[in-house]
Amino acid sequence: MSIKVLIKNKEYLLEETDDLTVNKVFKRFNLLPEGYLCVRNGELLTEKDLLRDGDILRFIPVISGGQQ
Amino acid sequence: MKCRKCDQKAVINMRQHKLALCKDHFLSWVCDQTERNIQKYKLFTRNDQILLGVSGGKDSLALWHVLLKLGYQTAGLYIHLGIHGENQYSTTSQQYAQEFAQKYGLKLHIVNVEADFGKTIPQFSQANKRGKLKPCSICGLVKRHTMNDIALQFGYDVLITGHNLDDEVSVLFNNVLSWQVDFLRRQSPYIPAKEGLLPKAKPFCRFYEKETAAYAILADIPYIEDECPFSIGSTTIQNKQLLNQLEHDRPGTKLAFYIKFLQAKNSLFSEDYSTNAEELFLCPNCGQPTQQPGDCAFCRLISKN
Repeated sequence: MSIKVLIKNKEYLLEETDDLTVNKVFKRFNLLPEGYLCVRNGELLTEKDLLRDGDILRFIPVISGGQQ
Repeated sequence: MKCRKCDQKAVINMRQHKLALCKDHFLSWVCDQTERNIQKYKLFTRNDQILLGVSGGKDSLALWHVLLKLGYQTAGLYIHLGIHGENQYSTTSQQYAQEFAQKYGLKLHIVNVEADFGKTIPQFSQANKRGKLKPCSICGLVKRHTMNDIALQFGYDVLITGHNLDDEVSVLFNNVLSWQVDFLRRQSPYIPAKEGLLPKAKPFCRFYEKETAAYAILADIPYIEDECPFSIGSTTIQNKQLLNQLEHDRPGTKLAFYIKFLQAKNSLFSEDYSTNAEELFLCPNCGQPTQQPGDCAFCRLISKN
């Protein structure tokens, strides 16, 4: 069993899923939670949420650029 | 993690406020806080006709949705910049803006830069020395001019944008690094009207970017997630990443930086050096205000090309 992670049109598979939280996934990919939302089946997750085998997570970047 | 206000599961934890909320309470919290910002900074009233700059992104569409729920009179302005890239950036973002306006029966003005001014933003940028280095500055110039022009033409009372706190602190950080005093004194949630210039307001200035994105997703508002291809590697994005690292280590850093700056402004700048102090001239070509006598920067850009 595994967890699928989608970040910016790239797909990753996490095999070790025991006690895996959203926060641990952020750390594994060296991402700051301030820059992304984590969504599972349309549901927003907090960093403390526990993940389950078979989950598909989408990390949505929230930082936008340009000039005022 | 549970919602602070009920027993439901929290969908967002805002560490700077020590506040975790469920979907319903978060959506109402954003509306309540927006109303609070509007009142606190005296941005506009329910009698005002409001023109909102809409990009098709999370901030402007979320703001439009919130203002609609709060009962304000709004119309949108979408400016097609002619930026394509792999994702047809301008055309795709226009579709999101149009779909939103159509769904809620709202007026959306659309200006096409190429059709109206002869070139797309990338073409203006290529043809202009300044633009070759900074395409975002050309884009900003065209957008500011166009927003004010449409607002004047159609008799709106106030111009608003969806700028969030991350946008504000990124600009503030940049202006502090280079001590741009003129820019610092002008930075505010509300910029009063001057002759030929409508007042400008930023009702989302106290929301983190993550919160406006969360609002759009939870309120089921489709928006363009891709960024403008020209913003990749921009100073704004670099600053935001740096500030997010500080925020991560010390929650509340970004909010305090901005709020304390606004509080300190009265001490930093004397009254005779206030927002309205600078002298403005009217552009003989378009009639919009300009900082120097003669044609304004927008008209110079158009006439050169």
